[in-house]
Amino acid sequence: MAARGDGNSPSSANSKLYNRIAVLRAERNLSRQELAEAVGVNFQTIGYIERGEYNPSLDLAFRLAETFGLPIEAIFSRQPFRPLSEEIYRRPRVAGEGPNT
Amino acid sequence: MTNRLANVSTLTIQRVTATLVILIVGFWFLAGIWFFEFSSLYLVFIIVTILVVRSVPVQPGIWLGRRPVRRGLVGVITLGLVLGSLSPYGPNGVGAVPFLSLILALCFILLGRATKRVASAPDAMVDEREESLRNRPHRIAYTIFAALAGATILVAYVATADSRAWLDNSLKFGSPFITFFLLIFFLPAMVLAWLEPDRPSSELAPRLPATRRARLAMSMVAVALLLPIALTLALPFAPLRTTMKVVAEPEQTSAAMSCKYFEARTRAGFGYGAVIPISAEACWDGHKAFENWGLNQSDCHSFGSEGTADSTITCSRTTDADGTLHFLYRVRLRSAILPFVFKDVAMTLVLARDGRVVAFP
Repeated sequence: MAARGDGNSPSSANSKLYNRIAVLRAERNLSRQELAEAVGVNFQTIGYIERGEYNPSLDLAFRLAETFGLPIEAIFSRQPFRPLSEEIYRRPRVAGEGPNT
Repeated sequence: MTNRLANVSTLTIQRVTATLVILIVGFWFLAGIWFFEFSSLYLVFIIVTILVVRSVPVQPGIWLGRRPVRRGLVGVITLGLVLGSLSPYGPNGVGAVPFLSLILALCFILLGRATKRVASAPDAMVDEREESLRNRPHRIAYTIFAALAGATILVAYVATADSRAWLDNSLKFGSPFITFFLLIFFLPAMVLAWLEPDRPSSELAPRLPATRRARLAMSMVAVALLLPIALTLALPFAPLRTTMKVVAEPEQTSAAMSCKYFEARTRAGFGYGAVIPISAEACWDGHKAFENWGLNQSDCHSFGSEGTADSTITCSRTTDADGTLHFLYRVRLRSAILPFVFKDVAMTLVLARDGRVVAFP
């Protein structure tokens, strides 16, 4: 488990962590303030993490995962996330195919 | 900020800061600066106010959340510190320093709000992002402070006897010392206010409820800022309080002449003011009254001056043709904070040749 304060502000594109916190929050109808209180940080820190301006420590990442009841890799990724709808249907988009087909 | 139990360390920023404050105030005390009664009480009140203000959580709000505003605030503080360092002033001198101090005090309060006091927040009051936000300005502030201290020492070292007169005056009256003292505490917050980017409007915190402690803190800040101005404005209107005694001096009395000891002290102003004394011995021999000691130019000086500078208007001793002794000490007490506010005080001693006290004080 990482100690607190091990998070950092990403200094380059390579160190950026992508996340789904905003989507997960919206699904659960959680405000930033409520999520912040659940994981024990300032509500502005949630905003920084959502925008990719701050990489949380492993400790905070685990707390977020526990709060959402998801594995860490479902919330954070080194690669940009695909839209959740695509993740659910597990179907690559075919050229010329509309989103509702 | 979030209340969290953090790993307890014996060497925290707060403990280091508290030790530093105790050491500096202790040295002040030993150096004899702690001798003015009102100033001492006011300093204690300021310290209590700071403690109360720091115990109230703050949010910067829309205005102070903007980086240009915060940078402007840092600019005003820097200008105030530079002007304060360069203004020659003494314990009794009239200068802009007291007024600058009030402006700086207000700016430091705004700086605390703008940065949510993260720069000096204890570990238990910050989350991990705020902790990194707090530590970076400290690293930068250390470099700036070291550079400033080094530059000051370098200038003092290379300046010639002629060119360093301004530096001597400046060091003698302690203003650079006060500036460095303030920088120790506020430079990290200034760096943080300068570097912190604009907060997105969606993250502006809701207005904090006005708790009883918050109202108390605001009231104490208002009192701390307004009290010096109110006491300054009261200077011309405050009644003069005079104590006096006249004692016969049997040791100096002979068949040819008699003497009396005259002592009077007039206190002007409340808090900010001064004491104007007369302490003299005058004698008479039936033909004329005359001074034995204490009625000379060198005896015309006030003491206990706080927030005022005194300048002697008249200090004269004359003897009439009929042998009556006249002594007049007239002094102008001018406020150091608002130089257009002043109070004239006159002390007189009129002693007839037969020993009759015509006027005193």
